[in-house]
Parts: sequence; structure tokens; C-alpha cells
Amino acid sequence: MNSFERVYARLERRQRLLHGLSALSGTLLITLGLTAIALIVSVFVSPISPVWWLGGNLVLASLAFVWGWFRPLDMTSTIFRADRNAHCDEKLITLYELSLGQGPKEFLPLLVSRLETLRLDLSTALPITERWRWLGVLALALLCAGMTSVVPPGGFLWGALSESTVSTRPSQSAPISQQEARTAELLQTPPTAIAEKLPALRSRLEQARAALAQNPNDARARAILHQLQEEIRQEQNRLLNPPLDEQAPPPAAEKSSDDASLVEDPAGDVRTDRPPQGQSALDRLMQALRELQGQAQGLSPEEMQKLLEQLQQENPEAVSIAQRALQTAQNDEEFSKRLEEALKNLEARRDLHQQLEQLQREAQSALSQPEPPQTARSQTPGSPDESAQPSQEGTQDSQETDSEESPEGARQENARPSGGRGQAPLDPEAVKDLPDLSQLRERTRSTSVPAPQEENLEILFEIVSIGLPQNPDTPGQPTLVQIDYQKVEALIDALEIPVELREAVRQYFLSLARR
Amino acid sequence: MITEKQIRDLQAKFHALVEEIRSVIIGHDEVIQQTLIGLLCGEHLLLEGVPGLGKTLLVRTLGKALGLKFARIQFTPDLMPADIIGTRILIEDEAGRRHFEFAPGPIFAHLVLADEINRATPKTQSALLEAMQERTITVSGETYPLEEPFMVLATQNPIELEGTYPLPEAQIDRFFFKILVRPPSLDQLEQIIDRHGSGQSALAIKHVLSREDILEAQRLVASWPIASPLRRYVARLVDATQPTSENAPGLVKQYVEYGASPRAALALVRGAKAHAFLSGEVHTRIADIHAVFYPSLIHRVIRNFRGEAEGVPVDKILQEIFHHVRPE
Repeated sequence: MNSFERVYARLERRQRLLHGLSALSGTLLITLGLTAIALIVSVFVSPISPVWWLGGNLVLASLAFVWGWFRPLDMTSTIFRADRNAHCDEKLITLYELSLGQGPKEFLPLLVSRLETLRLDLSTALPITERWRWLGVLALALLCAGMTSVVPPGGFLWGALSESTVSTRPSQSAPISQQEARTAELLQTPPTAIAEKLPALRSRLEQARAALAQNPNDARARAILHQLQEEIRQEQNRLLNPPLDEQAPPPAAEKSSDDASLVEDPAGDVRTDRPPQGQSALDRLMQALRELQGQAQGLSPEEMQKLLEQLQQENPEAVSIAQRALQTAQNDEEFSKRLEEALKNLEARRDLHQQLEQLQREAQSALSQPEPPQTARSQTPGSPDESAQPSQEGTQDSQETDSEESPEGARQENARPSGGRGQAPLDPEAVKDLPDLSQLRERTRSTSVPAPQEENLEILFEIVSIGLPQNPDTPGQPTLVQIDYQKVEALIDALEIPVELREAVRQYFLSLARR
Repeated sequence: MITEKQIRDLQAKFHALVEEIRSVIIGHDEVIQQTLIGLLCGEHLLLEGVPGLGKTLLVRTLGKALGLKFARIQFTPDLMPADIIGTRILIEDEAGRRHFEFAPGPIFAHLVLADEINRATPKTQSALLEAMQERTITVSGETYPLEEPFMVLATQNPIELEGTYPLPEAQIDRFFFKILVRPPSLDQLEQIIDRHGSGQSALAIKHVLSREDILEAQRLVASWPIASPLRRYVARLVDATQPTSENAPGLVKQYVEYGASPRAALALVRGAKAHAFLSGEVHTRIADIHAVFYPSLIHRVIRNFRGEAEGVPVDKILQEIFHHVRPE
């Protein structure tokens, strides 16, 4: 192989490389552009896995490079360009054509001998052009990488390469952000609105208790107490949790009673037969911080880091608070001071929480007072329940007058779905059409939720439906509903009503009471 | 088979020839080189310049250095064709018999200096130009070939137009190059005074090249390699001189009536080859094309009325073409 053949081979490889790179950059420009558009669109639809777009781009780019490499070459123009760029004075192109037999062959050895002294710099002879293309490719690649790290929350391009990481990222990132938000919330002084609200809550509790003392069957007082309990529960949650209502609760499988998290039961159901979970967790957190405060004295940064790592599993929130304090503290004293401030805030929260807890207990005890047996007849006239308790026998004079003056009016009145507020005695003709009450009771039992306490159910749903007319011409379907609201609360807890539906059930009965 | 040694020897001889001429002609290196290119291509040259610049001296020196037969024809209005090509004269032998015998004119030389060619009548000019083209002379039905190498170097004075017969464009095109002989610089003028001031300008010129060497060099140059992209570049350059061409620059479209002929392209290629030979290379370069670009085209681009009226020089138009058309 003479010197020209070597030069020729190098030039050919270089040109193929340039063709390949040109095809590669062109393809990447198009595919990355499309990828960027797709990633932008995916913000509104669903994230595209980096594995797919990165892999797709790489495959297409590889194919383009191979295609470019094997593209037919115009070696005449290639060598002429190299000749001009490398200032070879057209030796290469003349040699090339002479080697192809174009021209007097006797000049070939003369030129080859002159070429041996020539040092050809390929990067000068055939430089990589289209730099703007590569800049475009770089810009698009950065855009796509940026989009990828933005679209799935908290994710990064390379960290998300494995499927497993991709699939678990959202569930992992959410608790981290929750914990950070909760830590930030806990380190603040408790909201003054809660402390200001405490006297008002107590006042309402006392009023409800007084009403219940006078009349244990006072449904309104009970409703007020239930409402109070709910409000107290919300305030307790506000004390312990950051405002993360829009976030989904963590999966049930991940929860346990020993969880150090301060998040209470999602339904806010605080049981009175065990210590409040949030309060104990607050105590544990404060205890951990105090221990950390004591242990951190005189520790080097590395030792401190080790200590925090050990504590991470045990109490991640304490670690989070400590790390925040470390970030802002310059020395041990400042660190201790920051922890002290955090502890003060936590103590203030715990005190408020305890006061709310006390209110909660008092409300619960008021609600659980025994009540005398009651019937619909024994209700005190003019009591708040009277409006909600339909009078089966129509004791009010005005109602009697109305019904006497207009029997048809009584019939229409009975037809109201509210179930007989101010009803006159039932028309004997209409009563004939009503189904037997005992049958209705039987039917109610058979259609209700199977419960172990059928007697209570009976009390609860003493619904007298003066029923479905046998005769289609009957204009009204008077329905009497008689509910013992005192029993409702206990039964809601006793029955197998799903926790998240209890409030709905309670509200339903309260709405009946208002009528 | 040509060997490098042969090429080297010939190139060395021509280098010596240049040096020999330069020993007499001060300055005018470009003119000397272009003259030698014409010689190597076996073509005829038109030298244009004011009197006294050394045109005749150059040709005479060249003739002596080459050892070739040299003839000078001073063109005048009353010069007849027969004065150039020769004529048949009546000869009476010893027996008293008379016959016509051809007496060759001064054109039967290797190097012919046609001094102030534009002073002769067109009839005489055309006789010379025909001989230049055909390289044969026909008198009374008999054809007499001109011996190779045959080269006419015509001169013309650009400033004296009265009483002259400017060469028509078609005839000017037959000259390979038009060489502009410019006045010497101050230093060169000083050297001329110093060397020729005594009035005894003895031409002690050595004979450095034989006729065979010249013919050999001409054959070698004719086969000199030139790559196809360079040939294409030449074609594009010549094409750009045509005002109707898409590649023509604005000045050409504006001021040119007729562009260069294909003969110009041939002159460019052959001139470039000869230039490469004289430069010591064994192949043709773009630089060689550039070196012969102006003398090849300057007399072949004909300006239109507007160009002449506005006094746009042909050099400027050629410069525009040169910068407009780049090798690709």
C-alpha cells in the first residue's frame, strides 16, 4: 500500500464518519424535537418513561449513523475538498484521478513520491461541519432531560432509568414532601386561632351539657356535641398535621399502630379507650429531640451525621428537624438553641392538643350519659324535637281545626314527604289502605344491615310508614318517622358502618331532626 | 516513459533560460514567464505596451537564448503580405532558362517579432494571422510548412491610434495571451540605467536550450496532468464571462458584450499546465490557473458600448469574475 492508498483509506473513513455524524445529528434534531414536543404534551397527559424516549432516540440515531456510514461516497469531491482544506495544492485529487487511470500514468509515481513528505491532518482536511446542528441537538437533549426531571414529580433522568424506580417514584416522593411539610409546620408556633377558639368551644360544650342535663333526650344538644367533637378533631389535626388535604392518604398496608407518624386516622376517629396517637407521637418526638440535644454536644459533623442516620429509622421527623437546625446553626450552641426553640413550639402544640383532648373527652362523656326510655308520646310539647317528631295523633289544636275545616286538606297534608308535621288524625278511609305496621317492621328488619342488636335497630328505625297505597287512587302516602337520636350515635359506632360513611349517616339523621 | 529526472532536467533548463533572460531584461518577470508559457504551449502572444519598454529586446534575447531562428517584421501601412510570407521570384539559371522560385519571407523563422502589428493594413495583418493559425504558407498553390517551434510575438502600441488599424476581435482571439508590458519601477529603472547606460548593450546570451528541448518540453506540458475539478473550475470561469450565463457576476451582465470563447478555456488549461511546469511541480494547481487567468482572458472579453463609454476596465470585470467564481 503506497502513501496515497493510505491517505485515501483515511479520507474515506473520515468521510464516512462525517456522513454518519451528519445523518446522526439530523436524525437527533428531528427525533429530539419530536420528543420534546411529546414530553411537553405529556405534562398534561401522562409522563413518558425516559427509557422509551431515550432508547428510541438512540436506536434511531444508531440507524441513521449506519445509514450515513454506508452511503455512497463521491470521492472526487471529497478528496478535492480535503485537498483544498489541507492546502495540498491539488496533489491528492490529481493522484486520485491518476490512480483511476484518468491522465498520464507516468506522473503517478512522481506525485506519490512527493506525497510521502506530506502530513495530512484529517481534522483540517475534512472538518466536522454543521456545528449549529450539534448545538441544536445539545439544546434539545437538555430540554428533554429537563422535561423528564420535571414531568414525574421529584424524579431525575438517570435515576429513573429502571422500570422499578419509575413505578415507585410517585409513592416514594409523596411521603418525603409530606414529611418535609409536616416538619416545617411543626416547627412553627401553634396557630393562635386554635387557642382563641378554645373558650368558645368550652362555652358551647357547657351549654350542650346543660341542655342534656335538663332533657337527656335533647337531640339538638346531642347534635351540637357531635359537631363540637368534629370541630375539636379538626383542630387537633391542624395542630399535628400540615395542610395536606388534597393529598391521598398513604396506603393502609403501610400504616401500623406503632407508626411514629403524627398523622391520625384519616377519618379523624379518636378513640377514647386509648391514649391519643398524635399526642404520644408528639411526646416521642420531643423525647427524641431532647436525647439528640444531649448527645450532640461536642460531636464532629461526621459523628453527628452517623447519629442522625441511626435515628433515621427510629424517628425520621426528629432527624428532619435536627437537619434543619444543623443547616442554620453555625456551632453547637446555635444548634442547641434551634432545638430548644423547636421543643418549645412542640410543647406549645402538645399543651393545646391536650386541652382539645380534654374537651373531646368531656363531650364524649356528655354524649354517653344514660337516657331514660322514651317514646314518641313522652316528648315535651314545644321542645326542639317536637318539630322533628311527627305527632301521630295530632295533638295540636290548630292542626285539629285545619283537619276539621278541610278533610281534603288533611289528606294533602298527610301526603307531604316530611312525614306528618302537624298532621291531623288520619282519615279512617285512608288508614284502611295502609299496610299493617307489624308487616312493615318485619320488612324493615329484613332489609336492614344485618346487625347483632336487632332491638336497638328497632328503636332506631321505628319508622311507621303508613304506607304504600293498595289503591292507586289514594292521593297521599303519609309516612311517620320516629327516631331516637340518642341511640343513633351509639349505634353508628356499634354497627358495622364503614368509618368513612359514619359521618354521612350521622348527618342524614341530623337533617331529619331539623325537619 | 517520462522519468522524474527528465522532468527535472527540463525544468532546470527552463529555469536557466529565465535566469538568462533576466540578466538582460530588468524587471518584467511576469512578462518573461508568460512569454515562456506561450513558448511551451507553442502559441502566439500579443504584447501591448508603450514603446521603449523592452519588448523587442525581450524577444530577441529569447531567440538568442534558445538558439532559434529569429525574425523581426516592422509593420507599416505599406507593408504587403508578400513582405511577410515571401514571394515567388523569377530566377534565370546558367543555361538561360527562367523559372519561379519561392523566396520565403521573415515568417519562416522560429521566433517572429511582429512589431507594431496594428500599423499594417488589415490585408497584411490577416496574412500573418492566417500563417499563425495554419502554421503553413501557401503561395501560388504550393504549401510551405513553418518549422516548429513557431511562435509569433506581436506588439502593439496602445496610445497611438492615428493611422493604425486595430486588430479585429476575431483576430485578437487567435493570440494565446495578451501580455501587458508595464513601465518598470523606480528601482528597476535605476538598474536599467546602470546596466545599459554605457550604450553598449552587448547581448552576451548563452544558449541554454536546444530546439529539441523545447519540442520535448512542449510535448511534456501538453500531457501535464490536470484534475477534473480544476477543468470544471476553468469552464466555470470562462462561462462566467458570458453576459447571458447564470453564473456571470453583475459587472459582466452590465458591461460585457461578448464573453470569452472556448479557445480561452483551452488557453487557461494549457497555460496553467505550462505554469505548473515552470513552477517545478508535476501536476496542475489552482494557483497555476490563477496565474494565467488575466493574460488568457483580458483580450477575449469584449465590453459593450456602455462599458466602453463609462470606461470600465476589463481588468476590473475579470477581477469581479475571479472573486465571484470559486473552486468547488
